[in-house]
Amino acid sequence: MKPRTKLRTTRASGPALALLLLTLGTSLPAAGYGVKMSVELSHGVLEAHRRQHAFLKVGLVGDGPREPSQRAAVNVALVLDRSGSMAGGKLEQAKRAAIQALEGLGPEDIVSVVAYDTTVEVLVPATKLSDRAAVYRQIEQLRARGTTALFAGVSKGAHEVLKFLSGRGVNRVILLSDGLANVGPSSPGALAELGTSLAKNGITVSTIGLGLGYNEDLMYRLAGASDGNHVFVEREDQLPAVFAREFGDMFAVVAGEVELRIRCGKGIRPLRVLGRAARIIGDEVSVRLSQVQATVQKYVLLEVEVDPQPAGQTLTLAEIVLHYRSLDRERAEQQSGRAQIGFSAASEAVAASANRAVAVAVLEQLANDATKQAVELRDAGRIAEARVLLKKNVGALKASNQALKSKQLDALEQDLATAAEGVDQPEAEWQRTRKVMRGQQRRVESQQAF
Amino acid sequence: MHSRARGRLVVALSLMVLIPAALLGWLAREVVVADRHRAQRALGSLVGGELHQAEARVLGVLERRRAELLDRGPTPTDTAALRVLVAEQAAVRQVFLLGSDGRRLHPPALGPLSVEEEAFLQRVRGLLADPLQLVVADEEGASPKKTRPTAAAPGAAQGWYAWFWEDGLQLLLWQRSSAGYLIGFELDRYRLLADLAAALPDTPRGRLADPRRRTVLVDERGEALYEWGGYDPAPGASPAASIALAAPLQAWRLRGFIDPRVTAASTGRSLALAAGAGVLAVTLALGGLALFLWRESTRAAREAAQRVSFVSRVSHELKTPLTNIRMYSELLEADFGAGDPRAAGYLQIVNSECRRLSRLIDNVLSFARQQRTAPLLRRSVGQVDALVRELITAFEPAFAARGVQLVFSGQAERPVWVDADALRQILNNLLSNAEKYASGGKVVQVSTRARAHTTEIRVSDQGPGISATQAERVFEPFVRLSSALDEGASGTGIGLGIARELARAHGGDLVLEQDEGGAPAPRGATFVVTLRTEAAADPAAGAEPPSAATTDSRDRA
Repeated sequence: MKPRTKLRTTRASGPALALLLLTLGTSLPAAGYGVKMSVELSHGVLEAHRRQHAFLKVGLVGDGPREPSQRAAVNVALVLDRSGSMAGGKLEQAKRAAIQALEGLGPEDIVSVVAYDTTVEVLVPATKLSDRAAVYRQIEQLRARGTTALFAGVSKGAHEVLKFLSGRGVNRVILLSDGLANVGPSSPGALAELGTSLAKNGITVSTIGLGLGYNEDLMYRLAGASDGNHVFVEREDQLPAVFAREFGDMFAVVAGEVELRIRCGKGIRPLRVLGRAARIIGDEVSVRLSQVQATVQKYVLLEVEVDPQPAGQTLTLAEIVLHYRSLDRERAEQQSGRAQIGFSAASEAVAASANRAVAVAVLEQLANDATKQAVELRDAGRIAEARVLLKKNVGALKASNQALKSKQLDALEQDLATAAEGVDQPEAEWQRTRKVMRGQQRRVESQQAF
Repeated sequence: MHSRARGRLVVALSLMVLIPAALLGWLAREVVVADRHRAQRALGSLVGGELHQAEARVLGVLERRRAELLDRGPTPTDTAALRVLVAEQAAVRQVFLLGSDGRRLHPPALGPLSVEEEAFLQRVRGLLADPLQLVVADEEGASPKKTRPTAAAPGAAQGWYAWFWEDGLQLLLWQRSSAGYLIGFELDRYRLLADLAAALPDTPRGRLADPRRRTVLVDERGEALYEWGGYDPAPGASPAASIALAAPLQAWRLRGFIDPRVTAASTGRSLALAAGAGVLAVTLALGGLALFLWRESTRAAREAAQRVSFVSRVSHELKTPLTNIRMYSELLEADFGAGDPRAAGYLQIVNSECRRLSRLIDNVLSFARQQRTAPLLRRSVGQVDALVRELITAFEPAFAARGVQLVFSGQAERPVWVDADALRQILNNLLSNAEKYASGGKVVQVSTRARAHTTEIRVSDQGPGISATQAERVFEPFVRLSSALDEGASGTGIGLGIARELARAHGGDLVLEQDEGGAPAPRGATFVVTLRTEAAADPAAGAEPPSAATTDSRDRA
């Protein structure tokens, strides 16, 4: 039944050093959606006779029609906080942003709108946008009151998406909140667990934190667990732009239910996947991505430990199988690839095999890890340690970037420097910095487009 | 009518109205309260019914989970397939599988595990050490789904198992296959909560919402997991109904709250209105009846008072000519009475009748005045005996005409402070009373006795007497005893009342003397007047009277 695109382009390089091997397998129908997978190693050649770490980067970028009319249908639930703290400009801007964003939806798209305070109201049950005015009217009628039953709001929103869960569509819950969840489950862990569960259904939860009163850990982890986006919006007048970007991100999706299975070769042990949730069992690694967009490359960065090998040895570092669902044809697709690695006693050969893109990605993720640690340290009151850690990473980034000259890393370096200042700030300003950091962390770890 | 009798009548009539009204009001209140309780109970059971409906939805979610996981053919038994199941089943967090020999097949006892699987083994360590707990808990009734062998797999059993771990209640769905495998699905707690929230009603506003209810699903710690309904109960408010969910969620409760104004506004209010109106109507009717009775009973008095008012106006007009008639007839008697014995006799009768008419007029005027103010006294030094004697002399001819002898014995010679006019009026009334009613006797005795600060005057007749029951009534205005007694007697019926008021104003009293048994003398009546009479130190000196201040102020008033 399932036509499988099993393309194995194994470009074996000659006997010499070039043993880095990339498989690129795609065979796309002219107008169809596809995913381009690239497999890269931090170094194609490693030092011989040494136990060492290496990084495998699997990049995924969608290949779809550029025509907006041909984008995949979306099935989106807007979950809006209408607790008392949203009163005034916040709620008005949120309404405006939501309505403007819905303007971009077409007749095939499904939308639902859920508002929550102490209780939840399904303002618009999942429906095709045949009667826009009625939907807009429901949004316009929102009034702020009560407390924040965030969990219940997300539950109802997810339920609306589940009603019309589509293999051909993008299934997404967009949560806007400006406050602390205080009715129902409200710990970051609880929301993360819910996100993990929803991701199994192919539902992504994107979270938009508004103002300085929300729980950024909760929003960050809910988005992270479901591989959704997370944005910190300081002022409500930024909401329309943020909604527009969120919808743009949704419209660019070409594949869903993406799973990458990596089996490490002999003498190679998977250690961790940087920035993403992964299941590592023995030499097998499984990473799930909610979706792949045409606009941005997503990647999975695996750190492995390599046993000492004699010079001239060539190994299969990993065999990679990509499963995904192409949104235009609603069918399971599969690609596979392989990464080969060579060993050399010559350090020039090792240096020459370095891959800049992988190095940038690795640095980016390591720096991101450092900022997460810094937040933990700051939360524990170890402010000086947090600052030292961030400063050290700023130095490391600077040193590495002299050779790499990556604008991405330049920006990250700036962010880290700002964060290093931020950890020292009084509590109120630190809360703001913390929200900025959570937003950046999510952006880096998921290669969020905005 | 006498004011005390009037007071008693008012009290009686008031009681006649108030007691039934109060009784009725109390009954009505009882009915309303009972009705409100009934309404509350009805609402409570209504809410209870709704809670059970909500419970059914919750259990429905569990049943769907169970059916999804267990009723879709045989569950996989190899690790790879179970890992796929965990990765794809949104409701499942982790799975374990035990072989028929009790050995753990998944997560594999040998071979690498994921971080999540290791954490899972920690959570269910106790359970895996003794998997019999599952079946035991189930047989103890922890689950409504008793072990249920299915036709497809006889000997198979399944059930729920609940335990507490970290953030609260965790659920595990287990099944023992006919082959002896025991599989356990750990449900994702938060996904379950999300599905429950999705399955339970939302809170639409302005459309189908009932803004007066709130239902809350609370966990084992009493914290709200999900709530719906437009009413916001105050913190700490007690629910109208509360039920524990059926197993395996028996640690959770559903609480139904109602806006208390709903209970007040339900049928109870109209009933309270009806009851209030009924009580009001009955009270009004009784009040009307009481008013009617009151007016009936006071009509005689009102009519008499009108009569007095009329008579007093007339009497005022009569007084001046009568005074002139009296003055000139006395002059006539003094100047020419000795000439002709017949003329002297006639003049004596004219004078006597003139004095009688004066007394009547005085009484009427006193009574009319007394209705408006207390009697005024003007004390001066005088001898009680002399005053009494003067009056007896005046009455002697009238008594003699009826064949009654007036006997006087005086023991009050001492000069005292006394209001001569008041004393005269009191005696006038007593003597004319005796004259009117005591004609059956032969003797009317009048005696005086001086005490330290008082003087006592007794007037006894030998007439028909007054019975004990009527002893007090004779002092009430316009009361005359049986018409049999009235024969031949006439008067306004106010004399004794006026005499008593004057005696009381004089610091004393007027009583009808009772014998030892409490009843008045069987034959004849004895009236006793007591007056407060301070002895005058020097009869010649016109010293100030003891109560001069009072008297003056009254005069001025």
